[in-house]
Amino acid sequence: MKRRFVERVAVEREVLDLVNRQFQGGELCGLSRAAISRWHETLEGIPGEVVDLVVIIAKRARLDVDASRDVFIDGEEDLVSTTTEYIQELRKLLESKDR
Amino acid sequence: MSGYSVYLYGSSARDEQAMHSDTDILVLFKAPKPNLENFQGLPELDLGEASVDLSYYSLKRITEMYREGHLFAWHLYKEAKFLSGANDILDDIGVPEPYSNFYDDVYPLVELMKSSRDRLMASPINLVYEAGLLFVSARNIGMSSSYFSNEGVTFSAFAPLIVSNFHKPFPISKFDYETLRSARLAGVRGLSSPKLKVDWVLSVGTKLIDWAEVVVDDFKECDYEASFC
Repeated sequence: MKRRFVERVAVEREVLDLVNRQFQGGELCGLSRAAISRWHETLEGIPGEVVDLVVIIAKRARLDVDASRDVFIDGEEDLVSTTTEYIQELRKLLESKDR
Repeated sequence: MSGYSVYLYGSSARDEQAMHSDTDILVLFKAPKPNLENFQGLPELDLGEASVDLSYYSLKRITEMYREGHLFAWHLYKEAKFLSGANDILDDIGVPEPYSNFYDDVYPLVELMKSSRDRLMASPINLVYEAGLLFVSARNIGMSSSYFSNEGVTFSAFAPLIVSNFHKPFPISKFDYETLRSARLAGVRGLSSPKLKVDWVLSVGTKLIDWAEVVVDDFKECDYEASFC
């Protein structure tokens, strides 16, 4: 359980590092839907596609850490690798916006 | 309806619910791998406008956690209120085994606090997020160590302020603790962020790390003993 929490923190930090370096003036301070919505509403100029991708990663990160998912999923499905792929996609998207 | 039982736990069960609190609901399935397609939610519960955090567990897994003396098992044992379903399954399971994972639970949190301090020293871009992590770590260390306390185990968000038998008293004021908590709430509830300064967060973070290291030393030998030491 603690391992999953620490892994989630690692994902959150990676995503927050990416977006908060790119969009300064208002920190995205968590990967909850509520925090992402507030960030999007208060900070101008964030492309919708960036927000959509952050929302997807947030959902994946929550699923990764949710112990109760074991009730419904047989075995340890490798969700972490797909989350990593989404983060890579976000990185590339932000790089393309930065040019 | 007979395949699961529903429980309330957390701040609502403790009558500590604040405006920004979630309502924590546990759905406990008798079947080891229930079919979600047959599960139509919780139509029998009137939860009003509350933000509900649903957790799903099988009876098998919860029984294992009770036998392992998992802290979540103690959380349920102390707080869970049966709401609906076939019968009060948790009551049938009985009392969890003594809590035995203190070091494994707490040591990663101390390391997390240190990493927050290190990251903030390198860059303040995630200041509110890292301040929130300091709160979560301190809160959870307080909850874990409360198992060995004079006051008894508590899952209050203010656990570190409640436990009185730390060799090193909790090092920050309730006001400062609340400030860190508001940083966490900004991240998880989308509330407005507190106005923080890097130097202040580093200062309280260092105090919390010093405290947490002493707490780990105080209680790590208690793992397999009775509920106090």
